[in-house]
Amino acid sequence: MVGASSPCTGARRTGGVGAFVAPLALLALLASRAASDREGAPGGALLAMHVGSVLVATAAFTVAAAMAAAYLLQERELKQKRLGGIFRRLPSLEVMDTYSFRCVALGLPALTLGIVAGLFVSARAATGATGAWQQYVALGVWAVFAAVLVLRVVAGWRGRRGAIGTLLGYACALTVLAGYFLRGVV
Amino acid sequence: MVVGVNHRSASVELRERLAVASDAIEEAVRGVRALDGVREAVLVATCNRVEVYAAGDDDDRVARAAQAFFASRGADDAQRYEHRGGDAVRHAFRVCASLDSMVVGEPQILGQVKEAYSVAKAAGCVGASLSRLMSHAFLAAKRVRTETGIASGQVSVASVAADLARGIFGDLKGRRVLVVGAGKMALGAARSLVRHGAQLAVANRSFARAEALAKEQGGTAHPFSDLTMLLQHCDVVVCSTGAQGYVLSRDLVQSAMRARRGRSLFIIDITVPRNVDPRVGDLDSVYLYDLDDLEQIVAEGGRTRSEARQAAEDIVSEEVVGFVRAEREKVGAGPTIAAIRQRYRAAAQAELERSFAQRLKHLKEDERKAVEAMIEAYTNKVLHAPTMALRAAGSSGDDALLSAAQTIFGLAEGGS
Repeated sequence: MVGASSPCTGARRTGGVGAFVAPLALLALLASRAASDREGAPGGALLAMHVGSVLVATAAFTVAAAMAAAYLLQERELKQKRLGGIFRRLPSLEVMDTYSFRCVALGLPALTLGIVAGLFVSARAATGATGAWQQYVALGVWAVFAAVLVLRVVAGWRGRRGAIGTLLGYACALTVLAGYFLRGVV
Repeated sequence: MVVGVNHRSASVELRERLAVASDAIEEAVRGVRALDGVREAVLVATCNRVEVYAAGDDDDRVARAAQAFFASRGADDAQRYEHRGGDAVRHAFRVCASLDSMVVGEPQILGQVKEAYSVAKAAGCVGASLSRLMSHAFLAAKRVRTETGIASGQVSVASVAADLARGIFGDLKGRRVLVVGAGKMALGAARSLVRHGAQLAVANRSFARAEALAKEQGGTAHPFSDLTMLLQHCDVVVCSTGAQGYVLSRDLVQSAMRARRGRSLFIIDITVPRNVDPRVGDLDSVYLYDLDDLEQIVAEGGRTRSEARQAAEDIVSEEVVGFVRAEREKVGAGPTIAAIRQRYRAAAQAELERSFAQRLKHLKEDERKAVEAMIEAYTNKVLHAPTMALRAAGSSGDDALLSAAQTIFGLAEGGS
């Protein structure tokens, strides 16, 4: 995740974003540890592809969401006309907007692949209805991020609206992941 | 001690006359070092100050030497300042921390002093005293920079405008700045953006005036009727017309934003009465700042700056006290303590040698070593309490006790 953020934030004045990415990366690390504890289920290339793609998508969306959150903070500072410490530490609005967009554009194809592979996996396993609601929410995640991209290109929904959309999509994605892990625990 | 002139004490003419070219500093500092009574010297010469930091055994002789240096270059006494002891230390620390600068907090001065120090050091003019002073001053300056906000903060409306634009767009290279009207202040703000690489466009009711300004500032001129088109293509708009009503209405900007497909627009309204409908600021991705907003930010910069300045002065005072105390301990009691120990050791050594030659002749080498070690330990133990007392006297500046100790231990008359 930090790896995904570093090439994207290679531009100058992006230092402050690390403050958002680092804790999320830590969370992801802990989550992946928790996930690896539950390994041993029947696998195969499709499952590997599903997990791998979803991981890439999650990493990209995490960076995008961090950028979006930082964007909203910076935007609020500018609208309220305060040039506090936040203003000085964060990159410019334009930079955060662009990189958030790029990360979503990177994450969406990965998520698409992950969902398709996941559908095949669950069809083959024919395990019934378990995890059904996560599949719907996952489709919701896909729809939200797709909307973020399409509206940006077609209707010029940049900046604030794009950032809110990205955060919304990310919240849904976290719900799916949380559901997945909770199901394993309960 | 330090003797010098700066931007407050001396006229610019005098500073020009005193100025030392950077390649001539080494020679000049050697010249100061060669003067009577000067043991160490550092010469700091910038456009705002020329200062001699010098150390020697006798302050008066050092002062006379430094005065001679300035007098030979035509500076009279009234324009010169002189600090000794703790005041000189404080002065050095404040200069390095940029508290004595014309623009307080500007970062160049520390580098300039460091440069002056290394030139003097290379020329062999720096000894232990100035070396300790300068390294401690650099440390104090670093503390001031990291612990206070003295180096940040805004200076002018124009620089605030440029800072905001960079906060929105990042790099300003290739961005277009539109100046609506031909007010002086608007041009000032626009110019600071152009310095960061932005391109200028001027729109004015009188096209001839727009053309003249555009030519002068290196931009393009547009008639007022182009405004709608210009709003779509420029990222920063600086507004200062003489108009009484709103030149940029909410509807006009809203339709421009639609055409901009959500790209941010930064509008600066520097006119009173305002030229831009305040409701424009409510639009998404539009950042509207009027003169009051900008001045508010400038004023806040000034307020935090004066707070930072106080904090910086406190740090400097703390460091000065620490440095002076350490110096006093070293210089004040140091020589006395060293002399007392030296005297005891010499006496013990003489006695030992005599005994080893006579009554203790039969001792083997390792037994002699053991006796020597015992005598050394005894000396240390006996002298421990006097050493501590003298050190304390040195740091508190209690000269009476120091001279009493010199009498008691027989150092004062320089006895055998």
